[in-house]
Amino acid sequence: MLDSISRNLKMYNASQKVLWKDIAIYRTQFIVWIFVFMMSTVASVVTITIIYDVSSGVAGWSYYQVLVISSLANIMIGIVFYNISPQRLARTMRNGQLDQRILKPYNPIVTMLSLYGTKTSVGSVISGALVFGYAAYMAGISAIALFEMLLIFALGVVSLTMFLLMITLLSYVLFNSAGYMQWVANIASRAAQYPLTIYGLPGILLFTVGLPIGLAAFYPSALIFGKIGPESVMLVIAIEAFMIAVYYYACKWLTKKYRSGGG
Amino acid sequence: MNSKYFSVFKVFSKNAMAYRAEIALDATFYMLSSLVMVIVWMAVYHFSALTSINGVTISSMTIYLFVIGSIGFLSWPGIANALESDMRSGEIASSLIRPIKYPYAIFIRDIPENLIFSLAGTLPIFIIIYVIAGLHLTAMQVLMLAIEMVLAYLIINFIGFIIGSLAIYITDIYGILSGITWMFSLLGGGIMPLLLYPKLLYGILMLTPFPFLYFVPGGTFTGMIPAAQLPGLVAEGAIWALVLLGIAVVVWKRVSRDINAVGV
Repeated sequence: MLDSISRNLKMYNASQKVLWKDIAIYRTQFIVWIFVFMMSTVASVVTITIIYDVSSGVAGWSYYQVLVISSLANIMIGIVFYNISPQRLARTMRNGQLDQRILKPYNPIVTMLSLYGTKTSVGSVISGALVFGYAAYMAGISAIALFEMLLIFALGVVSLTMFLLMITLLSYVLFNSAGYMQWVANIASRAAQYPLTIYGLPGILLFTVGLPIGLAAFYPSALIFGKIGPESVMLVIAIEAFMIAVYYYACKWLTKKYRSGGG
Repeated sequence: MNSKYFSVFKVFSKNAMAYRAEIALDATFYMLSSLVMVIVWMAVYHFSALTSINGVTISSMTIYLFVIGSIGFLSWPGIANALESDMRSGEIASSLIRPIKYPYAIFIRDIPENLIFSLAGTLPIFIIIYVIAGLHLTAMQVLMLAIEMVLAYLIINFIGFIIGSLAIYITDIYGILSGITWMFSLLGGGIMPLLLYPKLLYGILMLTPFPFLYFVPGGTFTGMIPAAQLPGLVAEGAIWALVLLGIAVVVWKRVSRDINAVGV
């Protein structure tokens, strides 16, 4: 078990090194893309700033608190896209190239996550982290609170990554097409920028267990601002762990069902 | 229309029709994206107990967000992708020796897809919103809206043509295009009506081509922009389209010389 984890981690790291060397050759393009991904954070900040400038904002949430949610959402989506791009994965499955990559003894899921992401989405992570740092400072978040929310955030990111991989594989298995899952992810990232409470109970349920975008942005923020108690935190962590396990086994099953387009 | 250009138009219309399911799917996702912002703004109006923000009511905000979602296809200059693809593949070299002018042909190749999206996606959504919201647009407003949509198409695609032409120097223009479309969205009212921006910024932005992609058509449909201002705005949009056309012509003359020199 430990050997397997270690072997897969080594493969993941080696893949990242190769991909980053590739990026280094096309530095200018990479820098342009970093700025493009940063634009989504800028758009979020502008929208939230104007909302709070012209109104009282969103019930129960101050300007800096919403900025914290929004920036966590940008960091989350940056990490998720870094590991999985539905468009790229679908294209690779269709042209048969994925077959050459799924080789034992490596875990096929780790292989997919290591090779078919959008590396330039680190722009979203960087800009999200900058806004988060500023908003957290202005909102007076303590270092201990930040530490407390790390686990719930990390598990939320993993569950969303696995979910996106699962629906991409499922869509490909069913329809031989999965590029539109990029749209789903984009819309989800937009919805994750705001407190889930504005979507009502159906929205809270949908974005917690259906399309789990709230796990890495809303709940960590709710925890650090004291809007949910320890019991709720434990429940969220349990949901996250359960969903990761379910999505992981669903991905493994779907990988066996997958048939390439044959090139 | 000259028969050879019409032939190109017919061929690409058939191609575009093959992707009608994709067009329907795209239109649906544009609407879902708008729905998220509609919910956000409803929560804001509700919590603030406001009926109007800077003259924008909750109903006009809702209509605006759906309208700009339905014209989302105008936000991406397809011409730029076609130019880049032709330059990368070397197709452009053979295109230049054909008995058709390449810049005209590339526009004619792009129009069918947008036309089909307009007729199959935008128009039905406009009609549904119009009926459900009980709007009353005069014939002049409808005419102005149609002209604005054409101007929006020309403005984004003249910009796309200029950037696409640069593909000969920088090969991959996708990143620059994405950045520019984000900028248009942010500065053109693609996120919210520009009326909510600070007054000074609003005044400055209205002098740029940015609002013609989102705010001007969306504002015309919802009535946020008074009817009396529409002819002036259309004239301004036409001037911007002409300016960008002029730049595109100059850039193309320069770039086409380099294509010959490089022999792509």
